Amino acid sequence: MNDKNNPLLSVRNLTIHYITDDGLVKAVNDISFDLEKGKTLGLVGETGAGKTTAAFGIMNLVPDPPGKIISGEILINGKDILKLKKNESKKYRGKVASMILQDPMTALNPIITVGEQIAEVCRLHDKLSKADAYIKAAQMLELVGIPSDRIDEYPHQFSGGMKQRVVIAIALACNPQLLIADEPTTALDVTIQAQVLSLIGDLIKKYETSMILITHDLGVVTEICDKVAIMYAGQIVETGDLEAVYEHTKHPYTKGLFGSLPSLSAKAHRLNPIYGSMPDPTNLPNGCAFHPRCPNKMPACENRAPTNTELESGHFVRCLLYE
Amino acid sequence: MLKFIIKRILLAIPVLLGVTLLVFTMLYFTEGDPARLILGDTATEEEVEALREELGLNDSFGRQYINYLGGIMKGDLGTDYITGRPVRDEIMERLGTTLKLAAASIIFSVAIAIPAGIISAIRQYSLIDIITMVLALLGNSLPNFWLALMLILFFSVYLGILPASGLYGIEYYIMPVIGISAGAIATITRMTRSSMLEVIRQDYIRMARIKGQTEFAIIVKHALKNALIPVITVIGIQFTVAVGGAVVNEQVFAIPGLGKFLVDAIKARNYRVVQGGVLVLAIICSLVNLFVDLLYAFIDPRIKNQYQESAKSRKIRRVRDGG
Amino acid sequence: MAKKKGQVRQIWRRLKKNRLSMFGLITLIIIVLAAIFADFIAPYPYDLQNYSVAKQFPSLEHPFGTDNYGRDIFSRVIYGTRVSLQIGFISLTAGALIGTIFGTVSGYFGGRTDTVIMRFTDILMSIPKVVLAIAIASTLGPGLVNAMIAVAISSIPNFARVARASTLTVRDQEYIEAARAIGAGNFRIIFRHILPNILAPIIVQATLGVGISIILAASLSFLGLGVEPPTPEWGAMLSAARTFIRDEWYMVLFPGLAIMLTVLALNLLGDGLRDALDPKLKT
Repeated sequence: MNDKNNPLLSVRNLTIHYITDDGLVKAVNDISFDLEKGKTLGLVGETGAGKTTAAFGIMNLVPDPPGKIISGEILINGKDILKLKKNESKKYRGKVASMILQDPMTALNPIITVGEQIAEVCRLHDKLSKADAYIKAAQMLELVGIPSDRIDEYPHQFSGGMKQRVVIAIALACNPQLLIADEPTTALDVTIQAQVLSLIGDLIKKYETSMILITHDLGVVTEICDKVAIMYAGQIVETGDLEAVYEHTKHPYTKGLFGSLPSLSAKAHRLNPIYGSMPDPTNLPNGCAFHPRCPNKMPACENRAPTNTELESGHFVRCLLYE
Repeated sequence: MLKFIIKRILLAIPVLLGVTLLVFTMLYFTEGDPARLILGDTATEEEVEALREELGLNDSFGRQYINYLGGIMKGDLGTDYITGRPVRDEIMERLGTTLKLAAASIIFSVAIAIPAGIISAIRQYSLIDIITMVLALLGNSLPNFWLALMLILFFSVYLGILPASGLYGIEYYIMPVIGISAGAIATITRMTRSSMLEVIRQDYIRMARIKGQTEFAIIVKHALKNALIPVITVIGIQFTVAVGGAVVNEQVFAIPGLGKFLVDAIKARNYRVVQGGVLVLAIICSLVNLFVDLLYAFIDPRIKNQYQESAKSRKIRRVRDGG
Repeated sequence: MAKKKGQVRQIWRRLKKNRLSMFGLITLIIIVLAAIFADFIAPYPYDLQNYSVAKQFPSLEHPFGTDNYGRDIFSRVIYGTRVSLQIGFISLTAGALIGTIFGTVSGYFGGRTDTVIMRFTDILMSIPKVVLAIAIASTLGPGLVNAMIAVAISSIPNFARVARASTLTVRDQEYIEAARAIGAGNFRIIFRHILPNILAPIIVQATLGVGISIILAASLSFLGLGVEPPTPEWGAMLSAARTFIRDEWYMVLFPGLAIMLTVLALNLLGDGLRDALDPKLKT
């Protein structure tokens, strides 16, 4: 493993399972990656690939039961947050790391004013007085582009895009070192998506916040991210700098993802979808989880699980083709 | 807000009128001639006919209803055919007892059920949750008058520590209140629990965790208020149920309230009393539910604002349409 | 149709997993069998009076004891199953039918129809169920059939509410639009397309409602306004036994236990059905 200049976040062999009535759901299986200060990682994958579970793992908020962190370390500034005591964990969340949820419609408490919801986090971590927290909340609203005179309004008085701005304000109110944005624009109108995304991009640049952007949109990744990690069936199948992954794509799944993007260039007339669908996480295939759908399948893929292989500095692939 | 209150009150008027019409109609078609009832078997046909004329019993249905309604407006519920006293006075003498029983039961139910529901939800599937749910299930399956009898059997007959009849002091309330409350406790507990479980799953609770809020504050500040909003309506409905319970339990404990009066009146075919009694109880239940609805709107900003906002948007429309 | 069958099988599979509901179902089956075969199960006729054995403590001969007329309480409780189930099921079915039609029409047509029907249910709901049933029973006079009518009317508003709410959720769905587009009439749409799709919540309401109806009918009889003695109705038995609570407690205990067990079984089954029909709602 490389260790260029101590990363802010270092996830090591993280494995998270859900124990449910329908069986063991292997949501996240042995993922590792690093994220440096001020950098942005795009975590890409289909629905159900385990992105959100990984994110909640990093927040130390995997719902237990049914979720269980089976193994792994999540180091922030070298400290494993999975070993934090309960009250230390509370100081970590919201202050060191924060998160933006997918659906702003449900992320805000319907019966508390937006101002109070922003102020809450300031009072918790920055020990501001009620009045100071209120002022801070007003500033945060202005920062995300909402007139501060709407501070006493309730969430239902805002549009979806505005609500997501409020969520962003909450997430950034205590100036966290790490921000996880879980598909922050998926639930919004297409016209609003770009605005919200560029707002997030501008703010993290301004405050040098590191970010994990969870998305299934490869286009968005090129605009904001420095690094990218492709997830499939709970594993990171390919990760590296943006350029490495985009220009020197190695994993057949990543290639498939690019192939299924519509392109304006004349070359492609037809989309190349990846055939089949994600395997059932309670019943993953033997060997490489992608083999049933892989165009480059070899006989060995059915039996042997690939390991993480570093091709060039920081560019990892999990595929037998490269072992 | 005022608009909502006025609208809700206006909506209650046709319901209350409907109740008077329904009750009047039902008892109008009841067999048995009040005039004959008053005069007894010895009276001649002419005497009875004269009294019918005098009481207005020969008027058309519509006329009689209008007269009755007119009486109600003036607070006159007619005359008790048997005692010759105004029905209103007889009801007022006993109403307090019934209402005290119903109110005490609702207060008792809420005091037990809401904490029980909350604890059950927070400790879902724990022993305490299972015990609570089993008790709630039993509470919903018991006829309240039988529970009352069993309480008498145990506390009065076996232990001899509680009085089995009458309502002369605080200790007289214990058994009737438990008897009346069992169903309400069960219903409100289950409602609180499921509402709480529903709320706990919401994204805004997750958001509160992301902020680093303590579990206690999450329950009290974020979950409880949201969870209790739907429970309030159920409490209103349970008041109506408790009034019914009081009517039956007055019979069990020989409590001289409106319920016992009503049942005795039916057996004596004393229909003016039945009419008045049912009407008064229905009106009180309607008013309580009206109050609960208003309370609901007051607590939930979504409803509160809906009305303020619609007033605002109406104004905007008026300005825009130039009128 | 094949899809429907599969659905039923799936619901059954989910229900089977729920142990409490299966307990409820089995108990209910036993109770129904007891009602049907009361003539064979009950050791004595329900109205056989024998003063020489009046007020006897439970024994092998009289498992639940005897009442003040020397009638065997066990036999009366068994025969009472017939009366209570009859009242519960018949009155509930009637109430459910009328209520569902009201609710569906109300939800489907909306507008003034909706307002009128909903105000009507508001009126019925503003009167405590027992008081409403008392008022109806006093209008009609006591008796088994009249008690059933009173209970049926009292159960209308619940079904109207449930049916209306469910109709509102399916009314604007595309298959309804499609049916309308191919020229199906309102009547056909309501019966062929809406009713089958709102059946689930109504079945759940009905299962829970039978229990409520049984208790309501027992309350009426207890007050002396429902089924009259000597018919072995549980509520009426309790009413008659009250006077003897001080010394002959068994006269009060067993009829009440019978009501509780029956209603409990129905509630367990109803809860299980709700979870099985809509796993999303499971808590």
